[in-house]
Amino acid sequence: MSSQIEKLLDTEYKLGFVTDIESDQAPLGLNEEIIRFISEKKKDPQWMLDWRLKAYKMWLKMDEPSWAHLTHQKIDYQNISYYSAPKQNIKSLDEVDPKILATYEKLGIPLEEQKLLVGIAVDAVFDSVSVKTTFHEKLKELGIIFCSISDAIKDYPDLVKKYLASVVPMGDNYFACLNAAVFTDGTFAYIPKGVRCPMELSTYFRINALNTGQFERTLIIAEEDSYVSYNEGCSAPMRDESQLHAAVVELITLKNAEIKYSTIQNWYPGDINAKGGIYNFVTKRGKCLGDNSKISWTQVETGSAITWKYPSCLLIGDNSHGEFYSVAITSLAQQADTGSKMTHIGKNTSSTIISKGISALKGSNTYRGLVKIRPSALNSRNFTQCDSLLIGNQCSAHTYPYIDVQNTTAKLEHEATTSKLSDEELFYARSRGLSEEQAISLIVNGFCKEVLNKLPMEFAVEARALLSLTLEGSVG
Amino acid sequence: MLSIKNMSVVIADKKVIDGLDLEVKAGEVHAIMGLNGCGKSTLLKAIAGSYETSVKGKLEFLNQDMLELDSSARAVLGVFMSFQNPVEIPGVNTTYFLKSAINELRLARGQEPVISPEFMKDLKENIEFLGINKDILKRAINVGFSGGEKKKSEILQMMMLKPKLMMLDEIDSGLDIDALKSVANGINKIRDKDSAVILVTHYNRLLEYVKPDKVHILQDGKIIKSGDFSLAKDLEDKGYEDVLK
Amino acid sequence: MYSNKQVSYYIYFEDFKVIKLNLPKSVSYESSGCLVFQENIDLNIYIRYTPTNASMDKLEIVLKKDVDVNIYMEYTGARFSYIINLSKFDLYKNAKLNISQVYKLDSSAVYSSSSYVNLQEKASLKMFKLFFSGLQVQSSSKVALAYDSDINIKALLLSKLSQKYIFSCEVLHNEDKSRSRVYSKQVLKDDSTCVFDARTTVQKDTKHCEAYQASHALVLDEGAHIFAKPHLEIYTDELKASHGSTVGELDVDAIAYLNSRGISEKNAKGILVNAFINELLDLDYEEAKKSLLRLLGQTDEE
Repeated sequence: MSSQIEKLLDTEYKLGFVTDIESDQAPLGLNEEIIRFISEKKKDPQWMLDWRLKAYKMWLKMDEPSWAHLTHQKIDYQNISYYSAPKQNIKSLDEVDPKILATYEKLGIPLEEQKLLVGIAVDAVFDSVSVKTTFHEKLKELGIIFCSISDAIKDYPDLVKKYLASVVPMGDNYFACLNAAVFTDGTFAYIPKGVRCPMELSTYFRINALNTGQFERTLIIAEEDSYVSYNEGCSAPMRDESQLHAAVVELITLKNAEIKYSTIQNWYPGDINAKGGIYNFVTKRGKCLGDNSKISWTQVETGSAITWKYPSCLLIGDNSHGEFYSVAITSLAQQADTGSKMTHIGKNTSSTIISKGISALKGSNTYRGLVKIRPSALNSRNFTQCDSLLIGNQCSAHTYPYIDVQNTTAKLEHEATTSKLSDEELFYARSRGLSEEQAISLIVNGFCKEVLNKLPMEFAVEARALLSLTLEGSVG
Repeated sequence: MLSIKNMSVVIADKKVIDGLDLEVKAGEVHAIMGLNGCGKSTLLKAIAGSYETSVKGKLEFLNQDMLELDSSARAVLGVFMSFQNPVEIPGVNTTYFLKSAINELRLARGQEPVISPEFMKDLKENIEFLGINKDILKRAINVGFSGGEKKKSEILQMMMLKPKLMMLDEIDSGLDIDALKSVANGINKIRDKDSAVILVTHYNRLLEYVKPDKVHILQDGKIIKSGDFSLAKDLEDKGYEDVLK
Repeated sequence: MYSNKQVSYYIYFEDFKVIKLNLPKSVSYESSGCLVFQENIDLNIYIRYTPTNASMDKLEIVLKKDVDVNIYMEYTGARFSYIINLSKFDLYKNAKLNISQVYKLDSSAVYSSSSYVNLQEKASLKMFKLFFSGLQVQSSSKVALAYDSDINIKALLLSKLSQKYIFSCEVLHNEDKSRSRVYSKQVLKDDSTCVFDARTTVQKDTKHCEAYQASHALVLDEGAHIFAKPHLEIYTDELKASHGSTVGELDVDAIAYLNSRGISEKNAKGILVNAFINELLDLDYEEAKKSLLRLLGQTDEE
């Protein structure tokens, strides 16, 4: 069985191709000058430049965290270009470089057709600058702001000033602080009071230019009684040098509001000898500020050489609810240290964590989660389930839950299992006429079902396709 | 012995009983019937003093104001309610639990704790009487009991505690005819001229074995019609709509 | 703990010096703190520590091949003292040790104990730890498991006032077919703190290991603080591993049910706490269990 899997895993990375476009790129390295350069390129107002410089000074005094169950080459922060943008200034869809459009088509997201076919507004980020946004008009009618964060800084400075870094403080952690100093673009969404966003908001990220780190910054605010579902999808072309990705995502929900945030992450994973691949250090956090508000994170992590990511919720409003649903697959020499942090502060707050980790070949998969119940969080509830599936005897799976309760009325349940893809299961499925590949796919899909079901419809199709792709190339 | 006047009960922020009157004398059997959700279970819970209920009005038992007493104090006075869905309590041995409950009763009445051999003898007799598997005594309360075992276990507890007011909430649901008979025999065995029974049921079959003196129909939180056993028969023959016309 | 009839063998330490000793001939005790068992001992061995000053010492227990021993250890006293204790358990092939450790310390004592446990092929260790006194007690164990060896650790932490109890346990499955069970229950009152910190690692290329961890906490008062870290590290796919952890208060429906049968609120809570603890006290030797229950002020009926 294992040789068969190895053969499957050997399949080349399907999304590995490089688009050749001239880049407007910053020189390698990081210093005050580079930050001023980025700021100028982004046409930042003065307050933004000051903010970046403050973050940079803070970052200089910080150390890279070492507590995660990850080993990788030391990142040379002076050997990275912190800015790169396609040179052209695109005003309409027709002006988009046909090569870029072709790239998206290979990814299965033809930009021109999306408007007609899927009904998703797409804010496509190619490298560090927003290339194209669609559906702006439609959203504008409802008062929804959906634009790049750089536009938001210029057009809605009051909103940005009010909420930027209100969930992930500038100096929250090493990577978030770096992001604050050098972030180049990202998404901004604002859903006004009482509005249910009628469509899924999406962004596709793609790392392209050589030696370019991606420093995205996303800020989503849902005002009272509003609702939005946001999909983020990623994929990167094959590349030998390791690339750094340090994004920050902040979500804010006010009274009765709900944000559903779904991610598919399929950055280039590197090869079986841990050569190449993306280093993905992401800080994602949501703040349920208002009573009865809800934040739900769903992620399908299939790519990256290193994944360091803990989408979290601060449950401040009474009766607020946080969710985290995750599927993480590590194959080849991939390493993932991912999980969630649920901090219960308000009364009757509840949270659910469902994490499914799959390790194959030399993959290492770690669940790390913290459930913290503060004394003020009366009658709060948490349910955590983290299951690991191991395929082959060279991979590893780790679970590091932390449960911290300072309250008598809290109820917590934590369950975890570790199992292998058993020969019996495979035999059973195969004896019913399935091929080995189908059988593995079936079992793995069953293992992740609870999480995949949480994805929005359009996204679920892609997730399954991607899972199959990774699994066709890794386990199914 | 039980006197209820203009009682209203709120459960889960909903007013379920509203202005209910009921008098139950010693030696009587009352049956309470009504459609689902009319407040039958809530009524029993309110009398037993469930933490879920908040009660207003007059509720007296043996001339004592019950509203000031918590549920254990009411149980000590002789109020017993069998639960429609008995709570499962892992780790608490059934025999030990029964003994504790009896000793609390005896303590309140100024009696010595029960003597073990006597207690065990009594327990064994009742178990045989009800046709219960002895094993349940060693098991934790209601944990892993079948539906029928749970109901019989409730009756067993009642027979051991010998209450004055026995309130049985759909004790007949899910029981086959043999189990129903033994449950009915259990009720009949311990009731006497000093005790009273309130049965909540949907069916007449239990009433064939435990003959009610009075039958009440509960609707919208009030007793809207009372009568004797014939009312229950009418209900079965004609249905609620026709009887209430 | 045991009456004299049951315990004929004992060794008493005061400030880590032996003050009283009665051991069978087959057991050797060296002044360096090494207790070696050459043969089976039918009776329980009773070891009592009574430190009075801040101090540090070590004890090594060695069970030779095929030896089967029951030990009851008690840590007492240590008024206003800070004690560090190192112990080592070395079980040779097929040896079997059943040990209970009770921290019966003075309410002012600060105690920190580190144990190194080494189990050879087919060796088996059953360990029960009870924390219920002492201001701050920390017990860390590090366990290495060889082929077909078996460890079963149960810890009961009953904390009150401003007590802080830390139970940590690190298990390494080094060889095939080794089994571990780390099971802990905590009952917290007042402003006390309990920490359950377990890490079980199943090494690469091992087969058919079984690892289990569970932690259940019952929090009775507002100010109490429970911190649980049930961690698993798995480097192979041929194994069975799981863990579970719960934190909660007493079940209100269960209390209500007991109330409705005439049991007062206070007693109902007592019964339920007892039931919570009882499951873990399901010890092999009946005597230890009874003594423990008496110690805890619990009735031991049924």
